[in-house]
Amino acid sequence: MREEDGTIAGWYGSGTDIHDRREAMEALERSERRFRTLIEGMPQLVWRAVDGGQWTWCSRQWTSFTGQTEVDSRGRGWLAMLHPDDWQAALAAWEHAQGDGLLAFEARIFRRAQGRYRHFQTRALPVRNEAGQVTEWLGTSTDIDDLHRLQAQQGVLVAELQHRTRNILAVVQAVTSRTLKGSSSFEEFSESIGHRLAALARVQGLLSRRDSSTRVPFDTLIREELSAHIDLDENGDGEHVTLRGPPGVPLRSSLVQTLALALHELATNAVKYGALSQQGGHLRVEWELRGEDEAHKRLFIDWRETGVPERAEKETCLPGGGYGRELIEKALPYQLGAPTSYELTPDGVHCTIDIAVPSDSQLEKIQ
Amino acid sequence: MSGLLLRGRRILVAEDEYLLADDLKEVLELANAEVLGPVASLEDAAAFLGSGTIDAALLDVNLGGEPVFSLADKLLQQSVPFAFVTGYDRSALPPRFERVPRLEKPADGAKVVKTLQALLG
Repeated sequence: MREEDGTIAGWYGSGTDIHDRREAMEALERSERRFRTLIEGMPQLVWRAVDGGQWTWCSRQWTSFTGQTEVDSRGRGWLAMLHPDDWQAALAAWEHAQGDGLLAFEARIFRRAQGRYRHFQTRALPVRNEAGQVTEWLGTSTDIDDLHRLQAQQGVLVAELQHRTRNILAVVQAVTSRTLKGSSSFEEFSESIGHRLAALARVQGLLSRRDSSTRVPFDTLIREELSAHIDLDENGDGEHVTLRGPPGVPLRSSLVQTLALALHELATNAVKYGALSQQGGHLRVEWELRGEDEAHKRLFIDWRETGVPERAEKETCLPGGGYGRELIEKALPYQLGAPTSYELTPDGVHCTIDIAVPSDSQLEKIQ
Repeated sequence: MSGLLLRGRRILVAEDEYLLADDLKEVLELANAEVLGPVASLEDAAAFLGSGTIDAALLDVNLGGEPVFSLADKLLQQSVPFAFVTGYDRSALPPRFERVPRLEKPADGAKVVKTLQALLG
């Protein structure tokens, strides 16, 4: 306070305690930092918008995912990063959002690093003022592309399972009717069909044990089939059996079943009438890879029975009314262009099968 | 089954499983149809296309690992009626084949003949 001449007469002062305010501001800053860290650390793309989907801000995730700058994303700029086919759905969702008090839609968003679109689920809730009016929207877009892919894959697998189940039933029906035709008594039918279904079951086991990227190797198939009839040692040899050939030669899945059924008929025949039915008989199965060209390798299988001199009249063909021969001489060539031969030599059965080996570059798709 | 059912009709059979193809052939021949094929691949089926020799066709959906749809499209273009013989569900087939009859495996012989009769009018 001053005198009339302007000299200072005294001081008044007032103090305001700003301690609390300061504390509150610091707390707010800390809270904002935490909030920002939270937003920037989450995997979702986060953004703010005002009514009608006019963006006012987006998080770093959006800019680094799409390559679009924050400024460019504002307003309806974000729409440019969505798949054009999804624009309509996105805009329609915004139209409904106001009334629903919730924004929710799915759309594909472009990922710059991959150069392709990925499926996203987008959700936002409105922020309201004290009067209950919407002041802005806070939204997130979540990457659900892997989920989409897995769902699609699952759909394919279920369809495939249905297809295979019905197909195998049709094969069982065909095998049954052929076995019926080739049987002269119920006992004969009962025995043959039991063994044939068991052979089918074995091959289904082989096919389902492998994972989708691997194939059934020939040596596994021949051992599995012969083991059902006779004892084999670790090398795959038995008292009257010699198996010789490279391990791991892959078979096309569509061939495995028919080849297994054919080998089953050969083995059954050998056990009943051929090399495995008598002393002095011997079965030698040899196989080798042929062909110069890596992409066109062929597996040549040679099944030779020896020491089977006398064969009675009724034993001159495979059992089952020629069903076995039908598989070898017709089914294998038909299904896979596999040249085959079947011959009764004075010494026993001699059969050859020549099949294409799938090269690595032709790894199968899910069929 | 009357012998007149499919008399002289030329039916293309595309089925890669030999036993099933052979069964279909037998059913059709019993109905006095003339069987084209059977064929186990798209490549072999192509030989019968465009020559105007096919009256109708039975198609397995999967031929040696290849979907049969390209062949089905060609038949549609040439106005050759056909049916799918398949283990696949209707939902696994493209919508453009919505009106194509689907025979479930294992296919019943009488039903196969009846379906073909309906297709051939």
